[in-house]
Amino acid sequence: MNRVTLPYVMVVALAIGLLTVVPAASARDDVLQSVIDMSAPMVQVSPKNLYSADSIKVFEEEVKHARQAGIPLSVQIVQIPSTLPPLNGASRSEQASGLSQERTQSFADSLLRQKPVESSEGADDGVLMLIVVPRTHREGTTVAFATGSNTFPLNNVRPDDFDEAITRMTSLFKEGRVSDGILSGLYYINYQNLFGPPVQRTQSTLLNDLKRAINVPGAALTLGACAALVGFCVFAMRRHRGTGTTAADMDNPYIVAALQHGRVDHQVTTSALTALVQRGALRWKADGDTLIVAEPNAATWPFERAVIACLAAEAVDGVLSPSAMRQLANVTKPARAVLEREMIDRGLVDPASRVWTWRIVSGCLTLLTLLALLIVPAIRSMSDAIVLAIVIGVIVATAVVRWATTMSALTSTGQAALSAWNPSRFTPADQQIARSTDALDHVATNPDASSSSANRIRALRGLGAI
Amino acid sequence: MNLSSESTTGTALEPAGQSTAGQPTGERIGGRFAVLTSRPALLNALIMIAVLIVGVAHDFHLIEATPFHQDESRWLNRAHYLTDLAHPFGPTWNDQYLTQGQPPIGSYMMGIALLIQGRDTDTNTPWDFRRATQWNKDHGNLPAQGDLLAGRRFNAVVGALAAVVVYIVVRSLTNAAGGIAGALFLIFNPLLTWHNRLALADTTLTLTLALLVWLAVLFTRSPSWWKAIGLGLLIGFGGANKFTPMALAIPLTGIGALMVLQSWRDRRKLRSVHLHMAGLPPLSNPGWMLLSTPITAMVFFVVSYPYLWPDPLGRTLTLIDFRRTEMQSQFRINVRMRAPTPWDSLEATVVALGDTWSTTRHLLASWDLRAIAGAVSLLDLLVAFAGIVLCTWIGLRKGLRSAELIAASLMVFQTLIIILTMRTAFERYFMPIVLMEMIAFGYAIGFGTDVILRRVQRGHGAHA
Repeated sequence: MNRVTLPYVMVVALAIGLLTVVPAASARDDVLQSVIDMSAPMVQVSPKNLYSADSIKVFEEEVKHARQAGIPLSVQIVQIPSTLPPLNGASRSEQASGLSQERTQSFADSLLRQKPVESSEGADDGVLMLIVVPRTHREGTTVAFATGSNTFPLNNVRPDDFDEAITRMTSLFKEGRVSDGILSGLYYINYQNLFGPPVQRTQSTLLNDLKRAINVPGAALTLGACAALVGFCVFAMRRHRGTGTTAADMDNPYIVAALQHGRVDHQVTTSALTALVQRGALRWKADGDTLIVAEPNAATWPFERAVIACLAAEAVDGVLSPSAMRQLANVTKPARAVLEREMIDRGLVDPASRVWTWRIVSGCLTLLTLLALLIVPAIRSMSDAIVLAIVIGVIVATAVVRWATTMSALTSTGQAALSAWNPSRFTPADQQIARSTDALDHVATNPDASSSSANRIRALRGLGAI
Repeated sequence: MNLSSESTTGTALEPAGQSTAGQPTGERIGGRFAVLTSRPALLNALIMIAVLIVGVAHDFHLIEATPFHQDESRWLNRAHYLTDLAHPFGPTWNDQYLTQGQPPIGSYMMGIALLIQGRDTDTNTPWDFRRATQWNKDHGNLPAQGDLLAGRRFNAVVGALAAVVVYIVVRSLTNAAGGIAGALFLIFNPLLTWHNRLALADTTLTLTLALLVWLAVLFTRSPSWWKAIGLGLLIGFGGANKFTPMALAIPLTGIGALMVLQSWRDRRKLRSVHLHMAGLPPLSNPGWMLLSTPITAMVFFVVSYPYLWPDPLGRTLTLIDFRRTEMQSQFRINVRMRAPTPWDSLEATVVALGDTWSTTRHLLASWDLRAIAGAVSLLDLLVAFAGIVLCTWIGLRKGLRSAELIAASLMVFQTLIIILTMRTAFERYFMPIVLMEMIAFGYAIGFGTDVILRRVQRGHGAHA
């Protein structure tokens, strides 16, 4: 295995394995469990022979589903025996042929008071579905829902949904389809619970007050900070451009390359390395992975000589190690410093450009910190204006960071010099060097470039043999 | 130093007389076959357009005749998530069944699909899988034909774009021949064809994963923080669509950690460089960039879903719990599709990719060559296996920063994570594996054509 040494692979594989197999710490209380385990019967039928065991099982499945989805529901289906005294003021004939809706509701309410349906003692959060089946006239079956004082909010179920369920059930009861009617009501409530239009969350007065206090001011503060950041960028740009206008005489292709690129970075070094390989000053070792410092004297420009000196300092018997190849940007840093110093001395590059870049990036980080501080109160108080401002702030900060990190370091003198550069004064080879930085970048990143050439350019950029 | 246009075929980095590529004889010999590996930009653009057209035409064909899938009702119902983003504290984002059921990206994509085709996001009510089809139809849970077709057409285009990205990925790893093979086998894969003609979320996942592999390849070619952020965003995007892509942060983080470790070791070996911070590499090191991907992914995952905002960790765990419960339920209900152990999942995967959803089998069968279709149905799977082995081997040979290693790690990890967590062998679970299979398939074809071309060139050179 080349480069990727086995111990490293094993250590990382072990870490990945641990990450994969160690289960997420998810010791969360199951809030539904109390509803699922509630003591009230799922379906209670009186008398017990009113429905077959199979029918009751079907009803129970639906009630079980309702409870699993968070509704503390209990269903009671009763047929009032003729031996009982009149119920809630209903006459015996009413009990035989069907109670009115009002009497059924009153019956359900009183039943819920007598035998609470609730997820835990005293919770008063249950729902009782009471179906009263007349003895002689099944078409007169009625249904009512009784709810506790803490039943609502109940997921996506609203009080209106119980009225709609009653309407649907009653229409089937009137056709004598009592079982179908009960199932229809249970289906409807279960469907609404999961898929009904959601109910707007409410929040405490305190959070409402907080929203009033911070929503607009917080958004204004955020947008103001964004504007200040942009203003700071404009100031920085004007500041670091300088005022010089004299076009310097360009005689060094590496200076022109750096001017073309906008700064002195490793791409300029790559241009030098490429030129040195072509000139035979550097040579690829037989395996094609590392360089040999072959002919130091073939380096012509001062920058090339500085690069060669850096490489020679790192080479062992003239050969660069794979480690050094991967660290070419670091190894050749002193050479770039020399070139940059020359450009600064000639007024082409702003010596403070990096400082200004970091100042701008620091400004962005400050803005992002402010946004981070606003996030929790904004979400807690549902302050949508602040959220919008935060989104804008993040976009602005990202754009500014992008601009600052790619900002040209040239002074106006440097820009004027670049404009005045006359390629015809250079040899064709030096013209190539002067124009090489972006071209090399294009080759290294372009999949259309032939692999051997592109790989070597990538290697010269310190990216390893890719 | 000649770097202009076609001059980058070898001579740019060699002293005179040492060039190993770009010999006129070699170019002449390659002839028409070499066109596929010479990769001029115009030809590439034409190939990409052709792949897109073939993909769209293929997926649009029979789009109306494809039978309705119940999941389409759910995805189209949640299209309003997109427009409800304007009200991040509205009731849509309550802690409820639908918000717990699926992460949001698939719903957003359906919203985009409807809006760009002139429809609104107020669609059908959601399908209740516990009820019969007739009950759902009676309750208005069947999507309107216009919405259904809008969602399907959108996915047909997204599926074709995934094929284009597969072409780009394979071409950038090998050559255009491999890219075309991978893209075409993806387009004509029966599983992807079916899903590209449905208004579901899985096609978006296919495109996301293809883009992720592509960006990972680009990252190795030219690392930057922006590309690393892009990788994290794509992982978060995939995770906010179908959870499992979140696991792809693990191989990227692993490679990143190795890069930092390697760089730290390299720096300590340097003789001429003064070390700061105990020799730790600077932030410009690609390792740090890759280490950031899980953070970016998690941030995007949370930001993309207002449901998570009030309690990001707690509600993410709720999503995971819900998914786990659903998977257990599916495992209980679908007895015939059970794959209780990873070995069963692997077996189910081989059967699915090598037989049921084999592109080779499907193509041969469609040409009335059923007699041999069964016999060679394993072809794409075997070639893909060779491709992934080759890609991994070359990646390990080239080193940590190679495009092959990062691409292979993503392909292998995505496949493994699905196999390890499958338990129920639903056909849609195989879609990301099919994508990776076709990238590996194209890689093997590209590698093979490169080898053949090189041998032809060498043979002719010796003969001359």
